[in-house]
Amino acid sequence: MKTVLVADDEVSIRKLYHRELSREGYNVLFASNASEAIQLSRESHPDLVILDIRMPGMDGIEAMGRILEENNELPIVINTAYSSYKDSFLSWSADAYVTKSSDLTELKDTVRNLLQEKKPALIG
Amino acid sequence: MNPPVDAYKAMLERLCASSRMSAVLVDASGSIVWKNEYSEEEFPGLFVPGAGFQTELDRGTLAQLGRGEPLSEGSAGESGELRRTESGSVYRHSCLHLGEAGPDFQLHCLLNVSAEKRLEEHFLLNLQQLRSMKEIVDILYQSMSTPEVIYLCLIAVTAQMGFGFNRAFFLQVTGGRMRGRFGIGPSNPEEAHTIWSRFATQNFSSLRQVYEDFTRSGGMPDPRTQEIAIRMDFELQKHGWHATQRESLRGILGVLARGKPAQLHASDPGTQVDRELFERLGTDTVAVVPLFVRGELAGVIIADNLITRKAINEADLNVLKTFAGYAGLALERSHLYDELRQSVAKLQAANETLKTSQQRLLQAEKLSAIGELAAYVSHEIRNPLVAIGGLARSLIKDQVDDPDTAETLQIIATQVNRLEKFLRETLDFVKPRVAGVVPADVLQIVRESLATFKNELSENAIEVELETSEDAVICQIDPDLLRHALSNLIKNAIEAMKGGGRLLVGVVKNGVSGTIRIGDTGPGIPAEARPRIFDPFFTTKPEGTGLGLSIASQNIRGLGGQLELEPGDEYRTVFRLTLPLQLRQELVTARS
Repeated sequence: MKTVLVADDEVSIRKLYHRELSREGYNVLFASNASEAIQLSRESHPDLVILDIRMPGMDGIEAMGRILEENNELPIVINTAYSSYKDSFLSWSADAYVTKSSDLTELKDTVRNLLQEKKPALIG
Repeated sequence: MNPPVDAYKAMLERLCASSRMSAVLVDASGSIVWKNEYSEEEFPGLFVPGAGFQTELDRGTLAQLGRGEPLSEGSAGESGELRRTESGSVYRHSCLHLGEAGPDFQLHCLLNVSAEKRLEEHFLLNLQQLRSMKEIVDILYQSMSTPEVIYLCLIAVTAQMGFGFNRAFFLQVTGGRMRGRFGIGPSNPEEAHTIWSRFATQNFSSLRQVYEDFTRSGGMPDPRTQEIAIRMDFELQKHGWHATQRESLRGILGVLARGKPAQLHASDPGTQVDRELFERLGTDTVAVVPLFVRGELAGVIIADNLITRKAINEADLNVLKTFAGYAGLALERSHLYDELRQSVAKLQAANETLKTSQQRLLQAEKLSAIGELAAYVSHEIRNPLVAIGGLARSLIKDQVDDPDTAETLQIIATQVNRLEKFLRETLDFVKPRVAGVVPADVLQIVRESLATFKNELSENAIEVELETSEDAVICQIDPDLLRHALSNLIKNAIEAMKGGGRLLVGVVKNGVSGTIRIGDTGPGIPAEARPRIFDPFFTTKPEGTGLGLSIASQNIRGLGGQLELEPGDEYRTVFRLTLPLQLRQELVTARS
């Protein structure tokens, strides 16, 4: 069973993602802020991380940087209510960028695809 | 000896002795019976026995005399009539019939009035010149444009009711250079005949009329004369113009330096300038009229009589002297007016630019503030919406047994979806984005945008008229922003044609830009709303946000394009979207 780590500060979003991603057959872990997400990704070895950008304290982009420093093969999906970050180069190192929507089809498709393809190891 | 004749003679001897009158007594046969000494002295051969008076104007009278008829009134009656001899003398001729007391005799008295006549003619000429000058000056001072003033000057110099030269040229003098600008008048006798006979039939009563006719006919009666003018170009510096003692220069340079109108002959000693001037003009005598504006030599009028070869006399030059002063003043006035006009135009343009940039700034500030707010609102609303809608969808999947609950959940999901769509279509585009500019096929995007409205178009019975150019229109744009702008325009057009109509969609390429036109046959935008339709929050629709067009126009401008409203014709509302074309920069760079 694949493990997906979701970092989002809103409890209602965590509730929703828990329902939907469990139904997809994933083991879902939650972090309510960026530091928790970094810690969990180190300790629990998730197969994929879904990061919100706007969180209290450290934001999702910075958290992504820290996580990738430790494991640059880990697929990361940026998932935010802001569409404007889509064009920011800061989010380019993410594997995917999905704008938050009540229709989770796009997010679920993205997660499925990323987990299916084997990420090539980076050289250097 | 005839007694009455002797009596007459005696009387005439006494009479003539006391005045310088010439008298001739003629009998019924036309023979001279007597004449006094002055007759022969002043009018030699004037009266030929049997043939009568040998003057041009007098043949009718002679015929009458020859027939022995009494002279009728209005002819050489007792009060006398002016006659001119071939040699130019003018005399007063009066005739007395002396036939009552015997045989018929005619007494012809002749008084030389040449001097008085010359004086009178001189006065009349001066008067006429004064009148012409006044008219010329009046017209010159009504003119506000420099070229018009110059043309009027040339017309005044050449018109019969002006100074009557055949041709006139204006050469401008600036920075030590003298260049021909205008030339008018015929270039050959045939042309002269055409022009002059036309003028004769037109019967102009003022120079203004001549000028108006001149401008109506295209302003160039003989292009060859204009050609001569513009071919004249002299570097005065090369011919001694820089000298300190300019006044002593020879030829036209000297005339210009002295500043007074003068006559020049091809045979006069001069410089290369004179030789070339006469060669180009093809004449041997010219009048040169220097024109001064604010004390500076501004140009020169050169006039000649190419066709009639009429000599230029001192009187002509005197009139030109007076004229030159007025012409200079008129030029100065028109120069000032030109400067004023230019300054006003510059100020107006600057004012316009300022206004436009102020408006742009204001709009940009407004949009920027809206953008910040929109991004915040969007985020704050979207998160709860995701939870509400997402959970509702999630619950639906749980196979709810109660159909009412299932329907309620469906309503929640649908309504949330609607709100999210609104956020996507409006607020997301407010935030100035880092546009993802790529070369994109505009027609392809237009077709895609139209396809998304397929249902709305058919539901409202709207016919689409697609006009495209043959070539693909590839523009440097962010396809998302263009799609957003297009869907706004198409949506507006559909809303304007609820009862059906025609939607114009044109995609063409022109020069360095691609143009998309979206037009509808709806009721049109009210005139008072037209200037404001791109303002943020301005809307004519009850449920409109007033953001669609303002965001679209801002985004298109961000791409280096423009979104405008056309005046509209059969399509009452037409929006024109201009985008920069992809110029294949890579290819150009690679080749060079």
